[in-house]
Amino acid sequence: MRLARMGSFHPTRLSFMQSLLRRLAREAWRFERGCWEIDDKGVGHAVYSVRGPARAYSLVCFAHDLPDEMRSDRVIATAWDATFALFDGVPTQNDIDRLARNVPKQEAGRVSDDELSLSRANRSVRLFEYVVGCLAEGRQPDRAEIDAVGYLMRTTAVYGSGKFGAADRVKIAGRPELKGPFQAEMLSVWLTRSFTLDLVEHMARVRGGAQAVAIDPVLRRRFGVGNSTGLGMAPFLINHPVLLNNWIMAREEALARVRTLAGADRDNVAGFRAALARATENVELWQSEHPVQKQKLAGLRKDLDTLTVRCGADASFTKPQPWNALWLWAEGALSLEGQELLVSLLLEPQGDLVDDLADCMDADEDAAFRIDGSMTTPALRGILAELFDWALAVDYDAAPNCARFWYVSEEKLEPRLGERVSEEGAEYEQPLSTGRDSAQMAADLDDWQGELSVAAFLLAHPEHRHTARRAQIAARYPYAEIRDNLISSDLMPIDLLRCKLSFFGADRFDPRSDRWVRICMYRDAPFPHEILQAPQ
Amino acid sequence: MVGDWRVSLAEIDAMGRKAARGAGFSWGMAEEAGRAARWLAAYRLPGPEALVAVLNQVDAAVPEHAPRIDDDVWYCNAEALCPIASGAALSDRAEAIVQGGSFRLGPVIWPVLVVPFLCRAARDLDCAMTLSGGDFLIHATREGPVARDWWAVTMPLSRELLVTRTMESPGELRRPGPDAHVLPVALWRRLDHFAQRTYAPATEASRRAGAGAGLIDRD
Repeated sequence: MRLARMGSFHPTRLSFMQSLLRRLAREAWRFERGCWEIDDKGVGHAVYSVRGPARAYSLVCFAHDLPDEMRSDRVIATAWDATFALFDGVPTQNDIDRLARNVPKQEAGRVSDDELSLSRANRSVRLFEYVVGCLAEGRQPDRAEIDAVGYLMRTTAVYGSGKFGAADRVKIAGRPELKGPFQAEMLSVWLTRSFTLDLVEHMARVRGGAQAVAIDPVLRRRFGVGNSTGLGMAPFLINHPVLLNNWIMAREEALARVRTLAGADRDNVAGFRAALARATENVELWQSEHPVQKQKLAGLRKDLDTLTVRCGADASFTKPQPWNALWLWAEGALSLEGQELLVSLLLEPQGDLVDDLADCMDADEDAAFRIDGSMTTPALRGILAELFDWALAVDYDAAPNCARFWYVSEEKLEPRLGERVSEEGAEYEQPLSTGRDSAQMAADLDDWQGELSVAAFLLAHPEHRHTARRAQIAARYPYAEIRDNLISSDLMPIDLLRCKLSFFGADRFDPRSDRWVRICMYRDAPFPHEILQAPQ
Repeated sequence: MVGDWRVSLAEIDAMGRKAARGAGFSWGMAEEAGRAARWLAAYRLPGPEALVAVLNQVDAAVPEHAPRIDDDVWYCNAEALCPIASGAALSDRAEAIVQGGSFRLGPVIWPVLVVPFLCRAARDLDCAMTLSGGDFLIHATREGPVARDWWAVTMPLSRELLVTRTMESPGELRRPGPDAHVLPVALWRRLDHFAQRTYAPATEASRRAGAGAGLIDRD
C-alpha cells in the first residue's frame, strides 16, 4: 500500500464503469433518448433514460452557449458548455423545469433527493469544432485527430451522495444496481458520452444541412468522456479507509484467485493475449507531457515489449500455475506501471472467476466508526508498532518530512495543499497527516501514566481520537491505510487521484502537474443504443 | 434569513463535522458530532438543531464542557456537560455499561445528542441501554431508539442523566429514513458560521499553487 504502486494502477474488469455496463447488459436494461430539444445554436435540453428490472434512471442534459473566455476546467468556474443531473426515474416536464432553474448553476443551485448526481462538462474546443466541420462537409473525422484528444467533452466535476441537496447514498445503497461504489456517477458519465456525440452530430446537421453525415459507428467508439480532476478528489481515499480497503481487497483477491489456478486453458490464454494486444495499442496512443508520466510511459512501453516476448511462446503457459509463474517473473522484470497493468491483463479473461468480487466493493463505514474504548493502551500502541512502523521512524521536525499541509480554502471550499515554510494557514490543517499523527499518538501513549484503557487515554487526549479510530480500523482492514507520509515534500498527489480514477475505470492518465490530471472514461466502450434494447 | 432549507443527511454530517471543529472540538470529536447530528436527522429527530445549540454554548470552551469522571459520577468545569464529549466517552465505556455498570452525569445540554452514541454501541455490542432523567427517557437498542414521549427527549437541558443497561425497552421504536431534513435557513447559516473558521483565507500563493492548476486548461 505505497503511493508509488497505487499511482501506477490501471483499470481492471472490477472497475466501476466495467461492472456497471456488465450489469446493464446482463439484466437487459432498456434505453431511450426521450427528449431532444436543442436549437440551432446548440442550446436546450435532452433526456436519456435507462430502465432496468425495477427502476429507471434519466440523465437530464442542459446544453449552453458558452463564450470561449468563460470556459475553465477549474472548480472555481461558474459556467460550462453543458450541465447534467441524474434523475431517479423518468422526469416530468415539471421536474425538467425545476432542474433547468438549478442544474446550470451547479454549486450555486440546489437539487432535490430525486436527483442522484450533479455534473458539468466543457468542450474540447479543438476536437469539437473539427468533428462538426468534418461531419457538416459530409466526411468522417480523421482517426488520428480523434485519438489525439479522445473526447468531445470533459467533465470537470461529478457530484453524488447528497451533495448540493441530492439524494443521500442511503437512499440508493439498498438497490442492487447502485449498491456498488459510484454506480450512479458512472451511469451519468456513460449517458453523458452519448449526449456529446449526439450534440456534435446535431451541430453538424445545423451547419451542413443535407450534406452532413453521422459519425461512423467504429469511429464513434473511439470517443470517451474526458475528465479533469484536481486536489478536490485527493483526500477521499484517506477519508474512506474501509472503502479503500474493500477496493484493494477485491483486487488482491482477484489476483490471488488467478495466480492459484493450476493451469491455463486455451481460451484464457487467447483472452490474455488479446487483452495484451489491446493494452499495447492503448499505451501507444497514451500521451503525456508531464516528465514523471513520460518516464513511466517509456518504462511501460518497454515492459509491454518484454511481456509480449515472455508470453509469445505457448510453452510458458503449460507449466503448473502458469499465471503465478508469470506474476513472479513480472515482479522482477517489470516496472510498477508494467506490473500493475499485468494485474488488469491477468483478470481480463477470468470473468467467471473474479466478477463476483465487484459485489464486495461497497462498504458499511458506520459499522467501523465506533472506537473500542475497552481496548488497552498497550494494545493500541501495539497496533501502531505493527502497522504504522513506516510512520513512527520518521523525523517530522525535519523540514522535508512535514513540508506540506492540507487545508480547505475559504474561497472555494476545496481541499488544497500548502507549503508549510513559505505559506500561511498551517493552523487550518486538515487531519490528513496520517503518519505524523500516528507518531504523535505513539509518543503520548509511551508517556501515558493513567488507566490502561483507550477510553481513559482519549478522555485525556481528545486530539488523538481520529488517529485512534484509524489505528483500530487498520487493525481490522489490512488495506485501509496508505503507508506513506502524506505531508512529505516528495508527495505526488496525482498518485492518489490515479488510484481512485483507475477504480472508476478511467485510463490515459495525463498529469498536468503534480496535482491535477486529465483522463478519459468509456473510450472504446459500447454505447447504450448498441447494447441495450429500445423500450418495449 | 428566513425560510426553510432542505439538506441531505450527507450535508448534515459534513457540515456538522466542520462546524464542531470550528467551535473548538478535536477532529476526531468533530467527526462524532457530524455523525451524531446526521444520525438523529435520519430518525427525524432534531440533530442539526441540537448541534447548533450545543456549539453556541460550548464555543471556544470545549474542554471545560468535557466530562470529568469521578468513579460513576460525571461532571464538568462549566455549567453543563457537552453531549458530544459525553456521548463519545459513554460510547468508549459501553462495555462497562453492558456488564452492569451505570453512570450518572449532569446537567447535560441537549441530551438527545447522546442517543446516537448509545444506539451505535448497542448495535455493535448487541445490547440495550437506557438514558433517563426527569421526563427524559429513551432506550438505545440495537434496532434503534425507543421512547414513549418523543417530545420530552428533545429538551434543551437535562438536570441529571442516568445511563444503565436495559432489560426491557417499552415504547415506540423509530426506524431511520434516507429523506432530506428541513430546518430554518438561519440555523444552517449558523452552522456554516462555525464551519467557516476551518477554512484558510485565500492568499496569492494559495490561489496560484494550491490547486495545482498552473497550465492552461483548454485544448
